[in-house]
Amino acid sequence: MRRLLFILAVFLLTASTWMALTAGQIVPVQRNILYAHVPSSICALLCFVVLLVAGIGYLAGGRDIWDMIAVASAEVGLVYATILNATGMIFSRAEWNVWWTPSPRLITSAILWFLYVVYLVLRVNLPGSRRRRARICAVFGIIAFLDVPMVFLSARFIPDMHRPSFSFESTWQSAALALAMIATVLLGTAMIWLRTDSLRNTLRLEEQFLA
Amino acid sequence: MFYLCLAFSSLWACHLIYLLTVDVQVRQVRRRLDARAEASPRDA
Repeated sequence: MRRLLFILAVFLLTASTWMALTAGQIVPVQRNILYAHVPSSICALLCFVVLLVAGIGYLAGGRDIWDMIAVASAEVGLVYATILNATGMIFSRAEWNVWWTPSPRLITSAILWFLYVVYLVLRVNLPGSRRRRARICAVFGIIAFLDVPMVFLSARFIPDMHRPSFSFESTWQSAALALAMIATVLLGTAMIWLRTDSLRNTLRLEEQFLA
Repeated sequence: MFYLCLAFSSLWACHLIYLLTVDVQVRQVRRRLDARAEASPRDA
């Protein structure tokens, strides 16, 4: 099932890239970076939603599976936040001739990336038992979620060179973006699933060694 | 065109690096499981 999800996601991602470079091409050509940038941003924010839900789930029930989902979503979220910031910087350089500018959305997106890094650093370096670490990280994940509405709303309410939304000229362009979004979310889901399974096996192994 | 290629390359590179990292970790767990099975065949 997971393998099927991976194959489907990669197929859709390739199809959307092909569609973006042919019928759905935006002029000038560098604006096609949007097809990589926008889905990554949606996925990075969705991973934070999963992190929030998993954090609340762990604090409410104390089940290890919630903690593993939280770690997996933080790792996958970091991947997408990296893609979001990297493609954003490349777009900025191509469109505005600067790699970085202190605009509200760029700053909140950079903070998003740092929050994922801090979460994963805390995960590895906090002293104490595994349960204590998981509890503190769950609380951190819930508080860090506050950055998500800031990223989403910053460009809408504060004057910014980053546009809050983008209007397409043809249905091919909208279809290519929709396809890229579906593919990216599917790929993110498959990666979270894979990592959660890997973490579960590691935990099972450690428990067997301790028994 | 250069920036477009750079953006899409970074997209695929990030995915591949993460999947390779997960793959290494999965292989390590599998190796440890195999070693444990060899050490105590009854538990396997």
